[in-house]
Amino acid sequence: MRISENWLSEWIETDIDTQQLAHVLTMAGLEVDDIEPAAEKFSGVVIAKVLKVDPHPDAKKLHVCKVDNGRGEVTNVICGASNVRPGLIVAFAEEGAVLPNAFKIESKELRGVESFGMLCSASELGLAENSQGIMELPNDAALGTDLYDSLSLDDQVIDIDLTPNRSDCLSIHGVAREVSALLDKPLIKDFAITEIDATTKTSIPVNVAAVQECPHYMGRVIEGVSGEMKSPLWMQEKLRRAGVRAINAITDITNFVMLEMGQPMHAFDLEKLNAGIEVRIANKNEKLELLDGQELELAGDELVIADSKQAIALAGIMGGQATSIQNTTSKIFLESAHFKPEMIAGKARRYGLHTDSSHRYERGVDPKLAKSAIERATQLIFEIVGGEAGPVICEEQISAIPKPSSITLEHSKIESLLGVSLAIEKVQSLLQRLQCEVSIKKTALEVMPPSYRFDLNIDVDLIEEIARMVGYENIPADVKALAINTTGDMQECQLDSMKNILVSRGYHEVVSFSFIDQDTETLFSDQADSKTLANPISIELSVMRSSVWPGLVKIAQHNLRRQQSRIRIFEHALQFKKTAAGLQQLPSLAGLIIGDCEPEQWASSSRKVDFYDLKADVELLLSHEALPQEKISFIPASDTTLHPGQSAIIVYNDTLIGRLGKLHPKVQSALDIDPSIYLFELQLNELIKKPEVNLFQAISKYPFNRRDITLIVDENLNAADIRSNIEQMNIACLKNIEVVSVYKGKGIPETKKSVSLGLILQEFSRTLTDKELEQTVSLIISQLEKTVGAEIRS
Amino acid sequence: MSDLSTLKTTALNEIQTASDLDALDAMRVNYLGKKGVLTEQLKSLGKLSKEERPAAGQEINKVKVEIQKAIEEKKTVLQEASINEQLKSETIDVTLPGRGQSFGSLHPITLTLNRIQNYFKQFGFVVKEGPEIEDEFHNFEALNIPDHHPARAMHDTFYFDDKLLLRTHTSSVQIHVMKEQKPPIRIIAPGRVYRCDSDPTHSPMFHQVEGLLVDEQVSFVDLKGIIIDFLQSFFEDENLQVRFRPSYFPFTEPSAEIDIGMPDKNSNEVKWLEVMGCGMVHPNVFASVGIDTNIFNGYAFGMGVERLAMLRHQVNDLRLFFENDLRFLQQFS
Repeated sequence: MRISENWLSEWIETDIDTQQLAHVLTMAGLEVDDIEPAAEKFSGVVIAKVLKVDPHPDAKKLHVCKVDNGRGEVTNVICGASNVRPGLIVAFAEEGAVLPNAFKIESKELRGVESFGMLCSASELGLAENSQGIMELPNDAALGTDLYDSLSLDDQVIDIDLTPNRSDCLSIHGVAREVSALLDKPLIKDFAITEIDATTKTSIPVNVAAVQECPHYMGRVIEGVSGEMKSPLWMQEKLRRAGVRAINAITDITNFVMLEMGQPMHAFDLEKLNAGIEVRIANKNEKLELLDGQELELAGDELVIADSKQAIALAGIMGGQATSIQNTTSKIFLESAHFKPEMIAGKARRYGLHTDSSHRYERGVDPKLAKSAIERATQLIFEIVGGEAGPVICEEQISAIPKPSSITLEHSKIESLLGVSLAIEKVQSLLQRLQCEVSIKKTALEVMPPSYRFDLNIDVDLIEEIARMVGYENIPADVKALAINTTGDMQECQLDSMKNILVSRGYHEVVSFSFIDQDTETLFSDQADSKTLANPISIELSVMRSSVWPGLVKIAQHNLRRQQSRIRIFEHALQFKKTAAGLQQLPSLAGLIIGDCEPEQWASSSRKVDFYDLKADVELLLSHEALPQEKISFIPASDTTLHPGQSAIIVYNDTLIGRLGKLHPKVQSALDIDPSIYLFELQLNELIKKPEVNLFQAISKYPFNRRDITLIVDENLNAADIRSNIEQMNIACLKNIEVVSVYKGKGIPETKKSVSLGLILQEFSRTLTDKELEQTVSLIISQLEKTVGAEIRS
Repeated sequence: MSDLSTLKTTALNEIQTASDLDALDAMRVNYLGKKGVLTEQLKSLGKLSKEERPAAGQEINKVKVEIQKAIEEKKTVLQEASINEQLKSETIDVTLPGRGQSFGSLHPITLTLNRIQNYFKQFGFVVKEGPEIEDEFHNFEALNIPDHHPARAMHDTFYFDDKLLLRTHTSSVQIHVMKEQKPPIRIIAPGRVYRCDSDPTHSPMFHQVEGLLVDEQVSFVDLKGIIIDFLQSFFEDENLQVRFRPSYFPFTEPSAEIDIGMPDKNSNEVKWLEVMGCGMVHPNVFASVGIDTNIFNGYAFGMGVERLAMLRHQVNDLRLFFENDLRFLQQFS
């Protein structure tokens, strides 16, 4: 529902601005989707009159017009519109005018004739999506006045997305009524509809056969009207701001009344009607051509308006072509009726129709409106079109007209449902603001809702109204009732899922004692001192281990001695470290692998595990922690436990988060273990922290390019060093660097190795040219030559 | 004797110069072996007189022990060096990536569903699932949406025939659960839902999570409490602004839509984004499943999973979720 703020202000004075009004409506359940200006700003456009139209001497389609600007000045204006003619009242953009989109009007010469301004079409003024010819203003428009001001275009249109229960707000009056209740301010005016007395006796027979479906049908004949007459500009503007197209004065008036009051109406061309009106259920396979040209074959369950011969309208949805208002129409039959929502619902959809009328009837139209609406429309027709009206014909079945029934609302139920307590008198006054009749009976309220509130049927409906009036934002929030204190933590147990990853990589979880013997502890520790039990079970179980590794290695030893050659195990336990700051007990996740990389099987030949197998598992665990891979580094490092050439520490954001590598051969021989052992250890305190959210990075639509380069470098140079040297260059289009091969041996000098890199290059918004690719690659090469002494192998 | 002394000096010098374990072993054989120099010396003791023998023998043995000790010491040094040499030759580049499979990822919808479920599980909500091919009763009628109710037009429903359809919301699971289970009830129902609508902002298939709590003495205050706490936890922002505004769902009364406030990048104003719907369960719904509203009431809420995922991960296009472009999926590993 599009509401012009100016139109609304004819009904209620709000003393709040548009934004505040929108907020009030939204917070009351009338969600405001959008606020837009009624028109784009323009200036310098006046209402003017065309005095004379001559053909342009040098251009067939152009006219040279003499235009009176209403201030006694007559100007030459060239106009190409076919509807320009002497006597026409027009929108005249004078020299210096500024139209929408900052389009400035200047005098200019068109094929030898000077033109001082422009005659505007509605679309040029931003008043229509498209338009044919220039705007034709009504003859009584005040010449010389500013068009923007005279149309009151300084207005905002508030677009409300109404929920289906609030059909009562499908009109200006309805929204004004709601605002009045919300702000507790009276309406400026209400419908004091004066009955328009019949000036003729002309009437037609009306027979309502379907009384249950149409309990109330009103109509009246109006003669001496003109079907081709246009409605006044103020009405066209109101319709336009509400999103309804102006057609002719009669149709516009019926639409206007619908927008103003909420009652859909229809006007039939009386002379096309065959002997009276019948409201009945359609016959099966009955044909009906609608206003939009669609030819329907009816199913037989629709409600139709018919004359003695045929269906002439799909009741409450759309009129028929045969009886529609034409330019020649001079007599009309005006209809204002109440149709049952159930009769309309689903029928429009069946034929792919959704009309302003069906939208309202499906949701319910106040049965009290039909009478007021027909009087209001008659009044407007008299004022705008003229004519003579016959008596109002009324067919009604009072028992079938929906009437609101009284609802008993127990006061205590309000608190039990909303959780807030409100005095019974307060409740009464809130409901009265909504036009309910309310009386208090002991502990309950007896409530009679207004006829237009089809959505108020039971006590909880009223409780919602009370909550709306109080404001949902003023109802407190509380989690106490759930009786469980939570951490609010949504992380899956990260440790469990890390363990599951290891399990799926073939690891078995083990549990070993936290206390070991001093000799083994010494083998795995660089600490001078350890935490020792005063009363150990035995000397073998007396020292709190500072790493989980000895436990894993002992278990490996046990299993190796029992013919298990492939071992993959992990343990989650505390490390007990004596530090300058005192004893620290740090949770760690540690793992060990020995033997073949895969279980023995037929499909591939086996190979012993090595450092890179272990590293892959560790990288997987780290990637699960959603730590950005680029911030994690593996730095070569050695200690007394690990092989100096095959071990690394893992650093994330300058924090040590773990280490991994091959067990030192000395430790191995001290433990008398033969096969190579690979170990990792992660510091869980540093790892299981709030992970960073993966924010989506847009994907380029353009293809990527790959360029491979092979470098000869010193054998001790690490891949990470090569990578960081390239990354320092900050090349935006370089998306990825992969190490694709590393080779030492034949053809490569003794202390050197060859490293091949795959460079992935891509621009986000275009395809890279060959030249750019070449330049980028040679930049990278020269950087590597300079910084790491790389030679390029072609 | 001077012979022995010279021998010792020579031997010790020689041992010090041994370049590897093999050379050292050759020396050991040369001096201490069965036919070694010292063994020969011992054999030559026989040529001496009985009186001279013990002293001479002692001298030789002393030299032998010294040489043995020197060899052992040198052996340790050489072994150490050999290990170090070997370790050095075994040095690898530990910065090269690990071998094998790259890392997969869970779909962002699953990640989001998991987050939602993990939150509500803490409050004792149990995950329930229902059929996706559903009947009119569970999807509409029992939820107080009778035939031709305008709310049906809000749902563009996929039909198989008059009665059978693809569920348009996970609210239908409420009905299944309440028919089978007596209160108190705390469930959440995650799953796929379908609407006959396809454009850049609508997918014909998407995901919802429905929540339902039925108990004695449940109020709107409790509903607001859990929803606000949930959204603040979900978006990891304890100051997140959450607002409830009246709305309409046939199966709840009062009903509310829930917006979260996001600071607008271009202005200081707060932009409100609708993220959920909720309300107190409508008495007609309870009636359709035979729950006594004199004893029980409850609340229900529903949320669009894609919408929450888009907001959390800043995904700007709904269609990305169903395109399953690997470059998109990889971003959630």
